[in-house]
Amino acid sequence: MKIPIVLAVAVAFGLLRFLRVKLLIWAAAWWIGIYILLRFGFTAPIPSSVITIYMGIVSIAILAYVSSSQERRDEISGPLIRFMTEKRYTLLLAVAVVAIPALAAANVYVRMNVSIEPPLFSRTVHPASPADITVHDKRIDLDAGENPFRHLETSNPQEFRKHVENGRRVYYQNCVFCHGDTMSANGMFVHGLDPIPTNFHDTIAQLRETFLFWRISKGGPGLPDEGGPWDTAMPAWEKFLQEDEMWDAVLFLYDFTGQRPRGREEVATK
Amino acid sequence: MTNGIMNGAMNRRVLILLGPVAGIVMFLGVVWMASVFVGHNEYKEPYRAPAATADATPRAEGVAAEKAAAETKAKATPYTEAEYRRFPGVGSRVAIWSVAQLHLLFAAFVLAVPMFAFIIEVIGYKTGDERYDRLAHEFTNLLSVSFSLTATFGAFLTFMLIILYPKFTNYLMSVFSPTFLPYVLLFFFEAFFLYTYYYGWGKFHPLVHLGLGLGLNVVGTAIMMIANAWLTFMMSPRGISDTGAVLSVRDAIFNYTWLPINVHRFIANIAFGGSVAAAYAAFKFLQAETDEERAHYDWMGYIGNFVAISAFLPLPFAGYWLAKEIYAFSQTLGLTMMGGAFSWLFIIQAVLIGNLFLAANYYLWLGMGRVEGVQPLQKFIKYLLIGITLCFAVWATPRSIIATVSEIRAMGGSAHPILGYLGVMSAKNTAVNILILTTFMSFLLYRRTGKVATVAWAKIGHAAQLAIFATAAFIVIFLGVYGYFVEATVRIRLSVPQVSSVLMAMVSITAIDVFLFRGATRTGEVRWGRIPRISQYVLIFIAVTFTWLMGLMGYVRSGLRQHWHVYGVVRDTSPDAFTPTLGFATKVVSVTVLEFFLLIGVVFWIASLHDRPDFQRQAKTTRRTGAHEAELT
Repeated sequence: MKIPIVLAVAVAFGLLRFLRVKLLIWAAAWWIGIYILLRFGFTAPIPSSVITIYMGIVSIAILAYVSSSQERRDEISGPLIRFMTEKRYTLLLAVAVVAIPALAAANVYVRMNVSIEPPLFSRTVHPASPADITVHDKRIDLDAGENPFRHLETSNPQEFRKHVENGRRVYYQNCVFCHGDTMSANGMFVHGLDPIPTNFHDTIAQLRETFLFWRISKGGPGLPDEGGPWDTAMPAWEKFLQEDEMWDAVLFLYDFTGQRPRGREEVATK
Repeated sequence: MTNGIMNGAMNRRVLILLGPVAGIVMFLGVVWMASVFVGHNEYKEPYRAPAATADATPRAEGVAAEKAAAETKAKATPYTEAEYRRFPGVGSRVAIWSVAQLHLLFAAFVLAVPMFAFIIEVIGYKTGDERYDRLAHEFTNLLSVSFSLTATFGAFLTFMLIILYPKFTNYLMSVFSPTFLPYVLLFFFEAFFLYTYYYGWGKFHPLVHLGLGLGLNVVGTAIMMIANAWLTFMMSPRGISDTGAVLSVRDAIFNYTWLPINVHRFIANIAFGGSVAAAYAAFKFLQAETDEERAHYDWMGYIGNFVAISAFLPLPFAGYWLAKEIYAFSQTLGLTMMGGAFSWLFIIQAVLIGNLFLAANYYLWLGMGRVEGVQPLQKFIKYLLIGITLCFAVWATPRSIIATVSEIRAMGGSAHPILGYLGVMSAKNTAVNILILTTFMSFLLYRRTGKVATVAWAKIGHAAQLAIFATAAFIVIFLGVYGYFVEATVRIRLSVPQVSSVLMAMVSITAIDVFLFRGATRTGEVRWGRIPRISQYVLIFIAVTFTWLMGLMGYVRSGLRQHWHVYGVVRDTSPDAFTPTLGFATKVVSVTVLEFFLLIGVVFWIASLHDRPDFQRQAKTTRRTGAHEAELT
């Protein structure tokens, strides 16, 4: 969070409380305050699509509150009716009548006057895998399959470590250039890639090992439609690596990030 | 004067006769004009000598031989069974989709209204309050027309399946052939119970009548369970070989998702029925002309909404169980649903359900205005609203965020470093549980408005309720945070203690409340009907949103199979075997919901005909009044 912005909003709210302003001002203040926090208050900016969802919710909530009792409805509508009917506000009303379309026009101008960049796209981060794939002429069941070396973790830890170390070798010989030393999607080629590679720290705990195997072996060319636009640079590693090497790389990804792969749920009605 | 009236009546009769006569004359005129037009303008072959008299040219012989060969070939065409047929215009998929959705919505309504009526009738029987009995009877008025429409749409759907997807329908019928006769038999029982329940109102002992209502509900639920077996089999097949040969019909029925769908639909039907009943009351409230009518329909809307929201509260848990079973059956289906092509529909779902919760709370807050006098509990609304808004925002936070390239770079990846934590199940489960608790608190506040507890232990009781609420909220949030530190299979299991603590809190707080407010002092009377009109639009909004959600989530469940009729076994090779865009899907669902509400409007109208005065009597009365007035003048 950007502390100065959060503090500024908090101070503004404190001031309004001190001045004992009316409900209409409070409603506007809440809307603007939340918007400022969402738009400018986060170090890693929130995408505008999410801000739109949040502000929609906030708008509905504020409308619900100000109309939830007769007293609040009177309190909110009274000043508006006075503003629109009393003579002393005529000039201000005229200004408001001009300002509303002018603001709309300004909004259009600001939105249109942006640097040229690729449009928004709804790329699915984890597209669904097929039920099975064929790698080096061998059918791999992605639903019921398991990493063939995972069981060694308990049955033969020494052998398991060998596979993890082999996975480390595979990773640092092939994957590090894009996914980075620390697997945080900050490899040396990352500035030339769009979309940027996967950050393994925040995704793989939700996925089963077979899913990672599918992504590694089939890469960008094997992505289904919902994973598009088809512009990931991930190669199909089955063309360069043996099956065991890819399973070992999967073991290493979990080992390095300290995460556990998603297990297989039991079917209750079986 | 009398002559004038007589002339007027004669003129009307002449006009009534003139209408059809003019129609027939115009029709004949159009036929004549069309025949003249065609006769004058159609292409005519130039005169040629008769074939027998003309010399056979090589071309004429060739044409004749070609024609004869075509005829021979046509006669020898072997009979082949069509795999698919195309529906004109919108295509087969959209046609089946719309009809199936309409059938399902009416079926849900026909199952839901008896449940609703039965619950209300039981309350009426237990409390001795005849208003409940009248209310239940009023709702059953809607049943007979809806039942006919459901059956009509059912037949329509069957014919459409046979016409458009003959091969697949044949396969499904061969797998489930033993279930069809019991299904038809149950329909007979359903008709018997439905009509005796409706026409026998007040004609039997109340317990006998309640027995008929119970029978109606049991049979209706059994019908639903059989139909559920067919559709869940398509999603999670069992009891068949890899090529689709039937190994066990029993296993095909008791497939992986059958039980969760049964539970989910059963609860959802109660919520749906309650919400449509409340919308009906809201519609009548807005039409009402007297305070008595407004009071009656306000109360009716409140009861409908109460039943709907009570059923709605456990619904997310049933849905969660279903989703878990789908994931367990196939990781691919689970990922398609929650992380793949359909994941954005769950954000739409979150927005709709969040709005439902907000609307339900808002209706209760508006309802506090029914109670006369000062309402000190109003001051708590803002805190409840903050809780609801926060939970709503968390629930609607997407995991796969739509972002520009520069936004993704600024975030440092496709997941936001902070919001990324809100896009996963731990946060969303916590948000749903807190939303449910908050809605429950709103209901408690509404219940207490205008009452002061007078029991000696009132303070301790309030403190105990607050402590239970705080403990439940703490457990839910603690387990939600803990979920981030354990693996997915453990995290999923944490939802059970979360749900249990919320349900325990609701039950225990209600139990304390009942005793706490026994013999409470009233600070103001409840004035039914004294509620702003906007509240009635909220009830209609809730019903429409429920229906929309049913359509949307029905599409997710069905669309998950993607290019499979029966997932992994019978492939869909029709031209429609692709997943439509979310925008297209939501449009189809929206149009279907609109059609449903238009049809349900017709049902309401037909049901209201029952209360209209008899036509002849009305006409006679008008005539008599007219004659009386004529005499006076």
